[in-house]
Amino acid sequence: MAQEASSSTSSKTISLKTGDGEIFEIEASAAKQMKTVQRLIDDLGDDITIPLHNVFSKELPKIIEYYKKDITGEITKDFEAEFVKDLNDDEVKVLFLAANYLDANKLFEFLSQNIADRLESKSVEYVRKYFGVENDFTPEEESKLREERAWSFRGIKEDE
Amino acid sequence: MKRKKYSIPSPRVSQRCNKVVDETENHELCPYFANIPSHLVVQILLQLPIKSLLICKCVCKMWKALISEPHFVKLHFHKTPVSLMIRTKDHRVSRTLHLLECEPEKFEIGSDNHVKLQPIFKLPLRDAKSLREKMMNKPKRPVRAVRLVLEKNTDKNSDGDSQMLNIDSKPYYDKFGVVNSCNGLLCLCCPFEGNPLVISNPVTGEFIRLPKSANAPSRVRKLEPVGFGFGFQPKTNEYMVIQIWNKYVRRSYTRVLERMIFEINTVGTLSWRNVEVDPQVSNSTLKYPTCLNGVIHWIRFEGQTQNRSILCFCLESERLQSFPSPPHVFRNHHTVSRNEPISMGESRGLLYICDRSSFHDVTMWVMKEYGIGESWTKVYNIDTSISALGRPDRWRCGLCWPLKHFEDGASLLLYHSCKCLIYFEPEKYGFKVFRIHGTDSEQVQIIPHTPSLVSLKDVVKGDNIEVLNIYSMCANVKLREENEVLSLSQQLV
Repeated sequence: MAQEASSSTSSKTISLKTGDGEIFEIEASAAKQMKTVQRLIDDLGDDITIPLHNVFSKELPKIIEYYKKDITGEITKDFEAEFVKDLNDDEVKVLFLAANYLDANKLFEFLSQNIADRLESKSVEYVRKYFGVENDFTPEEESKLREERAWSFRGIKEDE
Repeated sequence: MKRKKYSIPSPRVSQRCNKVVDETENHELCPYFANIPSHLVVQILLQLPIKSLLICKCVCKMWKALISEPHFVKLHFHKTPVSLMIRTKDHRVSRTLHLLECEPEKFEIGSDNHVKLQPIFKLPLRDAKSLREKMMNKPKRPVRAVRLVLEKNTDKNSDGDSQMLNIDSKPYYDKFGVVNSCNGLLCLCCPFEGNPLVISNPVTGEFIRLPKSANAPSRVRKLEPVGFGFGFQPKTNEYMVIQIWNKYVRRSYTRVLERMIFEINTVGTLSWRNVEVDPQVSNSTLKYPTCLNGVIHWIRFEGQTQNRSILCFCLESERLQSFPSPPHVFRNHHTVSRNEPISMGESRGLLYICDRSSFHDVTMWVMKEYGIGESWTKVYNIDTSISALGRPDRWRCGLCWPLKHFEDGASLLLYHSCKCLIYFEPEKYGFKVFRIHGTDSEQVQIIPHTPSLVSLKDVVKGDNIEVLNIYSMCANVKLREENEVLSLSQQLV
């Protein structure tokens, strides 16, 4: 039994079931990279379909795509650029939260860098909207902060 | 044994994502990041450059608190790329520092693009108090040192902001020199003598004035400067400032050394402490203070001979001793004078020395293993006569700063006079020349300084010393030269 398991680990696939009921297959070695999945496998065994309540069919394929590339060791700057190229802000956010839930470290770090890149030259209002955060500064505090910013970025307009 | 029901993910994960669970159940309806847990925000913030963090500080109170938190500041500082602060070097007060973060992307711009040097930070004015007093007392006759000129387009009615007053300020009174930078803090000094006066963090705008020492030079007491330094002691988490002076007395028409004054101030305390050290040091000048591993290092230029060596002072043991220097670099050079470019600094935990070993060559040495003399390795020997400038240039200043850890692939920045920076990347493209635009000044001064958001309030610990903020003090004082926006662009040769 053990022999059989070890010889087939490389090609063994795990079934993942998303929160909206769809099932996807993933290589066992890729599943290892997602610590949450691995923990579930350890608890439930690798023959059962692993349920992922907080990940949905929209984002899981993309995550699987990333780790498929990862296990072959082929993640390059070009691949990463291509990976995020057509993602809009909402899609990136969803992937980011899913990567966090799945405890998929590499993808999580990559996406947090990508979100940071997207925010890089943006204004305060843009960042607030992006995170759904409300401005809780008093008008005096706000104008003081704006004044300080005006000095640091004098002559340079913040992008909208 | 078969489990009857599947286990929920481990508590750590579920605690992290319980908010996510609430959200994603209706994820079509709510914005995804509403109520995102703060540790996820921190993950994103850690990847942002200082410039963006300054903007994010203004998003909301919680974010401001997250970004100011000492642990976050420390983590972020370690990720900040090697940076330089650039300021104009001429007859002006030059209190404006322009930040250049030395990331490879900045140097890979094409020749048509300009990289703006931002954000911009200000240093305090050395004699700000009397300047403000002059502003307050409207004199009947115009005072020559201060001319008040109202800025043309003041929005004083719309925003209620105070008027910007252009002030003519004299560098003699107001300019600060720089001793050295340590952990994101700058130690500012008197530009003539070099003695430390202020510790500031240009990014947060905070600064403190160091207490006056009883042994400081005054009108009555003339002292000869030997060396100064600013460093961090990791074991006690304290910052220390050092000043070393020689005191002479007149004896039958000559002057004789009476004693050497070696004092330390722990930043945040009100007094300077005397330390007994070997007075041998008194016949030298100590320059290029560099703090690494709780030790302040200097290049020592000895008296008449001008022999050079490295001297270091351990902040923990309070011992002054010599430090292994790179072989052959510090031999007697007959042509070497005190003005020959040499510099020492630290980058990513490694000590480096850059010197001009001959008329053309610029050499960079790195001490790969701290404290071990044999580990001084010559990393570069650049023949600047065949630089991208295409012609031999006598006025080269051959100082360079390592920009990347040498194992990561090499790149260096060389400072050329006349506002040029030469970026040297041996593997990709050799030399590239960049020019600094946007200022009338003919020269610039480069200060290696990696910015940090560390608050001086956390450094000072206690109420003895007041932490001042440049934004609240000098917000409506604008110096005439402060309309400049510097940018970097590649110069094709």
